[in-house]
Amino acid sequence: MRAGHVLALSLLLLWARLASAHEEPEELADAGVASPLPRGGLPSDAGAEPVDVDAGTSLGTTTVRGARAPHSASEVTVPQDVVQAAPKSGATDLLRLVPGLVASQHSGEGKAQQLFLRGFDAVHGQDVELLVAGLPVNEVSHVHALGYADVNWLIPDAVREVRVTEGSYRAFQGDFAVAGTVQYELGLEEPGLSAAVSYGSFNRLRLFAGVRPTEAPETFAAVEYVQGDGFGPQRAFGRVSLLGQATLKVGPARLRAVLGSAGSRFDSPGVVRQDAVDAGAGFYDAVGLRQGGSASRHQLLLGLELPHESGKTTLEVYGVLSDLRLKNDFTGFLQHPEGDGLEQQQSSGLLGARAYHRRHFHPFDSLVTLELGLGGRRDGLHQSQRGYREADGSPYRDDFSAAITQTAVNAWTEVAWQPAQWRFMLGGRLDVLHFEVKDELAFDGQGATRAAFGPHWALKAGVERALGEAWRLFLNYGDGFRSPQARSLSDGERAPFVHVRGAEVGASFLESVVDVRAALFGSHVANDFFFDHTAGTTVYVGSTLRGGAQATVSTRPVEGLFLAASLTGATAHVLESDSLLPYFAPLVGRLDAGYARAFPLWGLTWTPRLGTALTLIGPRPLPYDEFSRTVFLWDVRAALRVGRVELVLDVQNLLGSQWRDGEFVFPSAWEASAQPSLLPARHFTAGAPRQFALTLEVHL
Amino acid sequence: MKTMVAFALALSVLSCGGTARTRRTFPLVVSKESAALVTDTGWTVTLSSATVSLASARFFSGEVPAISRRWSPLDLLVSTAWAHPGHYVPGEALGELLTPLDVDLLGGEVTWGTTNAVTGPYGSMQLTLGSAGLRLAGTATKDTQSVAFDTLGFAPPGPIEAIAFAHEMDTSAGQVRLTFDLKAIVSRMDFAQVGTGADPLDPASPCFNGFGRGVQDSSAYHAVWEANP
Repeated sequence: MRAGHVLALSLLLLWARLASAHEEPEELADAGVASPLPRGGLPSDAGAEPVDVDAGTSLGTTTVRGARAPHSASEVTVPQDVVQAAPKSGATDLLRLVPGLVASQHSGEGKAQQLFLRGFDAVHGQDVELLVAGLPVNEVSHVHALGYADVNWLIPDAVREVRVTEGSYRAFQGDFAVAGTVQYELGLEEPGLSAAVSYGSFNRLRLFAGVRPTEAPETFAAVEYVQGDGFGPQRAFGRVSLLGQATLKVGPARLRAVLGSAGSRFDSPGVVRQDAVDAGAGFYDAVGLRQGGSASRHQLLLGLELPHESGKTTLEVYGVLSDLRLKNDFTGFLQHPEGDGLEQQQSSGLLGARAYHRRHFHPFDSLVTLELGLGGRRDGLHQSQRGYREADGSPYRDDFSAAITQTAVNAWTEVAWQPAQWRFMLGGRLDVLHFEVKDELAFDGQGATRAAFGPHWALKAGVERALGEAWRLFLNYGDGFRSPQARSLSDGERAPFVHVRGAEVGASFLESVVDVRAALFGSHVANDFFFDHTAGTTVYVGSTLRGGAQATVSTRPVEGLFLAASLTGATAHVLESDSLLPYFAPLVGRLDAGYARAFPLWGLTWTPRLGTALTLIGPRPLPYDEFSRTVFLWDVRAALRVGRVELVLDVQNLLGSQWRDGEFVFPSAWEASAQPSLLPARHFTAGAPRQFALTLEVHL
Repeated sequence: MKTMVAFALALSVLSCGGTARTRRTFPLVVSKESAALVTDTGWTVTLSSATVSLASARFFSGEVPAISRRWSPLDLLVSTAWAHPGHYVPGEALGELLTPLDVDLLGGEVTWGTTNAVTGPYGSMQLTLGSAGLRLAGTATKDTQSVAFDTLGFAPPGPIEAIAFAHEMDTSAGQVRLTFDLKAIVSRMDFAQVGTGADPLDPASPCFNGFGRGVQDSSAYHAVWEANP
């Protein structure tokens, strides 16, 4: 962000804030109680149009969007300058922007990250709903893990903002929104043509090109190609991703289209036994040398937005085609002398549509906001799993093969009444799921079919109170749910949902240069389970209770400087045994900071830029009263732009920490032995060592 | 320092409780029962040597299927058909001792070693003998007959599964005692049918076959938890 832009943005925000005190535009209706503007951008469905502001310098044009106030203390928006401040080598770095979220990669650069949020071990997405520009990312009934959410195809440069709604307090939050919802909105920061080439440690090469027309700030097209050898054996990867978005105004209507195609191929180092490393094996070694996979995704969303006098209506249709082939082996030869490796395959086709309607009323000098959403999607997928021989990779055992059709229909509403300094919200949501499963291996390959059906009702409620200009208090309640794995259902079964009751009390302090939020949260799961995907088994643990506290601070104390920090503490207990659930992240801290300042010199505009990100992950509880090691990472970005050319130096893991990205406890047997140990042992996946990357960017 | 701070903060967040299970170790002691050795066919056995090659011991959560119900007069009217005694499912591995050891069973109790284990509900044990297996030598007498024998070593092809060991293992001090019931092991041996000879015992003989069945009989091994006084 250049200095002129920062100044222009500040003036515009100040103007908007003053204007909001005297007018009642659509945005104010949605802005909550006497809200000053928070730091972030605006949800795409919130109705505000982006405004291009020519800052009057040669640096170009900055897009400034209106803002919508959060309706809980843990609704946070991460704007583009924060997203782009520190090095972002991929999806893991984008996920770490979410306060309290830990993203771990245990199978190479291409498989979905394992997520931990608010006391939940969301595995590969079962407890975190992810959307990109309105396109759902979580895959239902996925062969590898429930809610499998792969965002490796997301191009970091094209992320305009990250909107985080932690908890399940809002009615728009759907399947898998147990710990929260993360929405990535798309857009390039700078208009014109951008091209970049990066080269760094371990032969990592990245090519990027993007184009954004000045007159349509949300329209862009971008392509990214990345390849690398990885920081150890079995870590090579390559991926290509094309992503674009177009918006067009036709009279009062606004059309939006999002499209993307991506493909990747990756190797996986697997998980290494700690006792093997203690005995002399390398920290970055690999096991199970046939592990890895490939993934592809093709997607399209078409949207129509119709504003009207007191609100707007949005209609969207979307489709996603995705494929995954994955070879995993976490246990070696523990269960089968041929090898325990599993080859999983899934091909999915998703078609969906949603409608969203918002309207404002003004009874008795107060404001009432009505939001209504309707949606439906059909997921058709084919999945299979078979065992392969470690010696030659040939298959020797079929575990399952199934064709699944999963249909979901939902309707939700939120009604908010805002008398004076109060805001009362009451909402509800109905989700009905229908499953059809064809088990292709049943009855000696003749196959068997079964179907299940089930509704889920959810209540959402919130109370807000403004205290003066800056302070707001929140009290929220919400039910969330997670759909089941279709293959686990029997014929005629009323489909069971994991039902979550969550509550939160919080406060926020929003002022022009500082945004502080704090919340205490808790959630109860009646019949919880976690999927131990290293062993491929589901562990049912009964009732669980999670709780914790979160604080976020963002500030822009001086021109060109921002700081955004969060600290989350959480705990998760099994009620019956009063014991801790394993693996969740009890302490997560994150600090992003950036500074940019433009100045003229020798007839050119010079813009030095510094950015850094600190990540702290406290010890996580592991089975058998053990704890993982603390993780502390420091990433740094330094850049200098002269005119249209910019040179960027990225250093990730500046301290060169030898850290463990994931730690697990389970039995494995990698050595051929007549008496292999069957006891659970500590395993880990090594985190990336210090990495450098130099990028040359050209903006035309 | 940062690790200590993070650890302290995390522990303060967790406040109390662990993940329910924890690792532990305990000794495994091997001994034999001292009952008189009389076979089902009336042979009294006097051992001069009893050695066993131990390869590994493992403990599992799976309980040993057992039919334990009192006889009822109603059984005369409505009898229960037991199609089979059920299947033994080892379940979760909870403890193991993988250090081989040769033991002289006549020499008194021996501490085999330290078992690496985790707490939890124990249901059964598996015993694997080394290639030298179990070897018994001595004299069998019946009426006026006396037969000197030496079984040489016999080891089952796989582990001896489903040795009952029902115990809720926590962190309290104690040891597991594994007792070889030699009476049960020799009970099937009929020294009147020793084939080509008893010393060494003809491996194709019915007597040796009875010995082999005894070695593989999981009820010939008793595992009990002995708490430290």
